[in-house]
Amino acid sequence: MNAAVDPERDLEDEARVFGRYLVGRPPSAAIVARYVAASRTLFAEVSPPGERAVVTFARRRPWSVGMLDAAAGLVRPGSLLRGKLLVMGAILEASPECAEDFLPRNAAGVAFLVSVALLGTLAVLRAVIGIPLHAAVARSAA
Amino acid sequence: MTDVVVVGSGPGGVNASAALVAAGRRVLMLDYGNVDPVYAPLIPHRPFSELRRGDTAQHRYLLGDHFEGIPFGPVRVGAQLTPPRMHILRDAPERIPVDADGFQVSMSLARGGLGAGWSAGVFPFTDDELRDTSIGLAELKRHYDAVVERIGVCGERDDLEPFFPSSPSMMPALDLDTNAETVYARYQRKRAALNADGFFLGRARLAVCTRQHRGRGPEAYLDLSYWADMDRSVYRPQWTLDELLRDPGFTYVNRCFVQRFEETADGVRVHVVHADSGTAEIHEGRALVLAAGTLGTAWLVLRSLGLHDARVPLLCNPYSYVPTLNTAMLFRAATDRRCSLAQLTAIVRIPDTSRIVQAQIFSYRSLLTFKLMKELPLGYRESRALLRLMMPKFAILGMHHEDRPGPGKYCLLRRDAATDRLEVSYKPTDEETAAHLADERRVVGFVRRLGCVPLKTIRPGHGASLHYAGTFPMAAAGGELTCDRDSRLRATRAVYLADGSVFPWLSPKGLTFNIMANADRVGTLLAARLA
Repeated sequence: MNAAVDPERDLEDEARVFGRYLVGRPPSAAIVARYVAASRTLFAEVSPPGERAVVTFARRRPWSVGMLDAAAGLVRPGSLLRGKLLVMGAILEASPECAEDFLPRNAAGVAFLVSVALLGTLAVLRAVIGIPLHAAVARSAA
Repeated sequence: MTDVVVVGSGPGGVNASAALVAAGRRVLMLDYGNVDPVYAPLIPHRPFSELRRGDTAQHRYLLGDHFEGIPFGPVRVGAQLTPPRMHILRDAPERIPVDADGFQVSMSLARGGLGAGWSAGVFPFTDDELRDTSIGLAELKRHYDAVVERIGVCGERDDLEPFFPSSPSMMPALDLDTNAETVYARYQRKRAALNADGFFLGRARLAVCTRQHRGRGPEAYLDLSYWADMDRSVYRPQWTLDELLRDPGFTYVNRCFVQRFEETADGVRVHVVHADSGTAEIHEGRALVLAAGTLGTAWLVLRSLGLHDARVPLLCNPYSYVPTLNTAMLFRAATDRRCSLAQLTAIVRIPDTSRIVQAQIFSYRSLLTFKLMKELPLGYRESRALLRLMMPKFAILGMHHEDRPGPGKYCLLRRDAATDRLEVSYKPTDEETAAHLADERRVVGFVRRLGCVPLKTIRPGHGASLHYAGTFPMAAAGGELTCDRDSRLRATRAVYLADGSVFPWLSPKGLTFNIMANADRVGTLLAARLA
């Protein structure tokens, strides 16, 4: 069956792409199943075409998720993509295999400052590329 | 006929009942009594971090079976209500409909009322703060002491002593977490200058048992206070209800929704419907104590007296919070052992006024990282990584401001085909809003001097503190919709109010403990009257 017309498979693909993006490794089958169930409960209403287009683009091109997310964080914080990533984040955080990825890290001094600076730089770079990409993808659905 | 019918099992209801039962009066408590039968039993007795690493069922209580624990949109009232606590607000909006433009209403039909999710702050009023109620500290002090003994309070006699009269049976304060230790150490170094400028900091006084007390506690520092009542170390009104249930003079009628009362020749008749079957019931007593929460009681009183469209005042402490970066933590690691509740309490005197502002300092961890991720304008991957680094260094400042009656702050009952609706208007004057903002800046300035850099000010909106009060104020003299100094509603012969309704103004200190002490006083006075 074509992925584009199989909502179940689309949601499973989304879970894998978003999970890998958020914690750097593919999520377990249980996490994927939980994401599918959560999506059916929380995203039952149809979203605007532009927002659906961004999610579809991100699902099909995993390399783009970070940039689209960074852009949406600035220009569309309440968008469908952000909502779906938040749900995946919540599900990952509430799973023992990903607990370490969310529990506080005790970095102090120089290590802390360097890590914060690197993360800040990366976030800015992703947003700079992501903003025009996000606009183009959203516009393509209009 | 029973001696006293008590409506509601919240902080006021159980403490009034405890005083009545202790004096030998027969009490019948009517309660809707929602509980959480699903999530609380799933939570293991293990520290938060250990539970997170090992419990495969954690997604059920952290997120909820219907993912109700995942909040979307801006920060709202009740952000600290986790799935195991969400039953606290269940059914109330349908049973007591409220129209409130720009004011967030949270009412409870839970066993323990809003107290079932109370953050346990114990802030007794001073003589000055009690003046308008027509009762003074000399009268209320023994009831503060009785409640401290009943509920278990921990704290320390420190710089906050002039603001919070202490009680003899107070237990030692909770251990501070690393974050609060550094803030408190900095305060101690700058204490003289800060005090001279009107800033005072001390250990949080909390209704938490730090040693075994009445079969509860001690606090195990699991950092699970927002999720479960481990060892029952944090006080909930349900613990007093459990004690009352063992007394032959106390009867608990659960699953009933009180609709109205009427006075009879020899007492009060209360009309209720069964919450599940809808069957009508009548209960009678020589007197009635209403402790249904300020808004619930307003609905019930106005309805019972047939007073539609009559305005009564409404108060609620304005509330805001400020996440700050505690620079002293940049070079320190946080320890795992901690309590989720407030660590420190600050009082700020506002110069050239009689106002104070109260602030509390919290650390953040157990309410989960993903809820903060949505607050950052970054990609979630970077947000997650950044928050993991920064969370141990966050000191969250929660601020309460005083509230006084005003022409734009009231509620009234509207007639509706289905049921009567409460209409709430809450519009502070421009002067009040300006004063809150100025006071907020002053508090933030002091916190900056303690090495905490403010990141953002979050104002969840009117009603956010959940400290509703002032609808039928207690005063030496007043009209039918006020209470006398015994908390008796003047429009009635034998109806007494034992919740926030009776407080004529709101100090910024938080009301719950004062509601309990006044309820104990009401119960004691009523017991003597009915002897």
